[in-house]
Amino acid sequence: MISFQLSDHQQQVKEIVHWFAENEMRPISMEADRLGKVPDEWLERINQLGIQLSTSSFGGDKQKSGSGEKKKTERQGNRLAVIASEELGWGDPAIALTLPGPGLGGPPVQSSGTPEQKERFLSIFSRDEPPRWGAYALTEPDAGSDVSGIRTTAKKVEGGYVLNGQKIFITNGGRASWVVVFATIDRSLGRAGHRAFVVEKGTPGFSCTRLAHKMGIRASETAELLFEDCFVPDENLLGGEEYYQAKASGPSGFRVAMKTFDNTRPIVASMAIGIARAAYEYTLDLVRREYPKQGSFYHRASELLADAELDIEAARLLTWEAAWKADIGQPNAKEAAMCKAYAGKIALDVCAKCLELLGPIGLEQHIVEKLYRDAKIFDIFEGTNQIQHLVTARQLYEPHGVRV
Amino acid sequence: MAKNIQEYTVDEAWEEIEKNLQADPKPIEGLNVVYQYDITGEEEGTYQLHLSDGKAKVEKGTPAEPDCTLQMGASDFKDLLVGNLNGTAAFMSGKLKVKGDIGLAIKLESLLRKYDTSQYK
Repeated sequence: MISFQLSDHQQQVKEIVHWFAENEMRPISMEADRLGKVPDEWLERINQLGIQLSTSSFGGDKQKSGSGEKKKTERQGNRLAVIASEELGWGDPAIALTLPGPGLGGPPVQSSGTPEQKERFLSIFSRDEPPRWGAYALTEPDAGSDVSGIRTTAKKVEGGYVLNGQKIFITNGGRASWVVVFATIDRSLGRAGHRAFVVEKGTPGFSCTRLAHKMGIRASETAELLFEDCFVPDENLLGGEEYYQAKASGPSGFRVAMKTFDNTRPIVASMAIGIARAAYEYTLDLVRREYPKQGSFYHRASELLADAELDIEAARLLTWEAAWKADIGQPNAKEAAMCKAYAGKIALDVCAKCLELLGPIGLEQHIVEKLYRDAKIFDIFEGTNQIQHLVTARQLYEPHGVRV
Repeated sequence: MAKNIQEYTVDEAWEEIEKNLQADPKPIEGLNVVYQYDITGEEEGTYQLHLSDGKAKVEKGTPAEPDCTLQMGASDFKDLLVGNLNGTAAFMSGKLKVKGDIGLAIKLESLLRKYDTSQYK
């Protein structure tokens, strides 16, 4: 019942993504960090190879075997996604987040969009076209962790909605062809008033006002978006009116946001694990070569490395469990929160330990220094560490009637 | 002339590959590599594509040690050839398996895209 053996397919995905990380991402990693962007020519070339950041590119659910016989294959998209993301994080997390494709905007469209919306928004990503991106805009100056506090408003008008508000820290928000934007139709309704809209680039009233300069993942575009009397047609309300009417009693748009997190948190966690592994592997190699083979330095180094290895393994197991639960269709909100909380924290810890072991060489223009800067955000985005603890606690105590 | 790739047998498809690569050897110049294709299911068989000094030669069976082996069904093979199927997507979904040097497989994909395959679609 429990197995940690990768299937042939999973092993293959791990190998090819690792190959890509090592041979395509790493060579431009430091330069992209310095430039603060991933070179356009690189993105075009990668797009032509058909490489995209999309959780739906992993088949398994609708797969039919060649001879036409119907074989029931277990869904494994979430597991393949975390296996691949760990390697991408190992390669370069900022470049990973910049790979063409729907990115974090994919899951909400996939899980809540109408068939027509899925077709319209997800079919634009093709290797025969220029590279394109999707984005996901939830965070605002006064609402991030507290999703229910969003202030961007959506006012119903003839044929659609008019959006007003500001979104910050939106990955690929400036370059995206469309952005899934969360807004409220009535703040007094709380979560029930939330709606998710797909706003397309070039829509009048929608603009990117600033790109953030950050501590880490500098090559990844982090945008501030502004909506000023921005008209969005009815057909871009994610899921359509019926979706919200059917769930009139439920948490509606809030649910779209939360469902997304159950899929994306394990992916973010696995990227953090990849970062930790990259720093750890580099440092392990250096300690093996450069450190004295006995004495207190060696023992101290071995201890730190053993801690790092333990943290990485533990984070991976939590993450795989969250992905496995999602694949077999079990609720995984608690596991998704736990793996994200743990992986985000240990990524930073492991990188810090590695920097200690490297000493002065790790401090200047060095990959481990960069990984350390890159790691911090993994403890923050897709829900801060504190929020992950809150989600976990809620899942634990709700059955006992205790509201955290 | 205008025949869909799926109407070709695997053997015929290989003849077309050889013909096209020989007619325009520019994209394969400087390559010295043996690709092996293990076709599974219907039309099962093993083929090798030998690229050396701008020359392309197709062999049946395994006369040489391959640098990179690709395993897939006949129909997927044909779709992959003309670009109806994305190699990366095929790989991610498990339709295509690769053994040996993965970098060579990726190279092959971008190499094939340099040929005009519209007449086979």
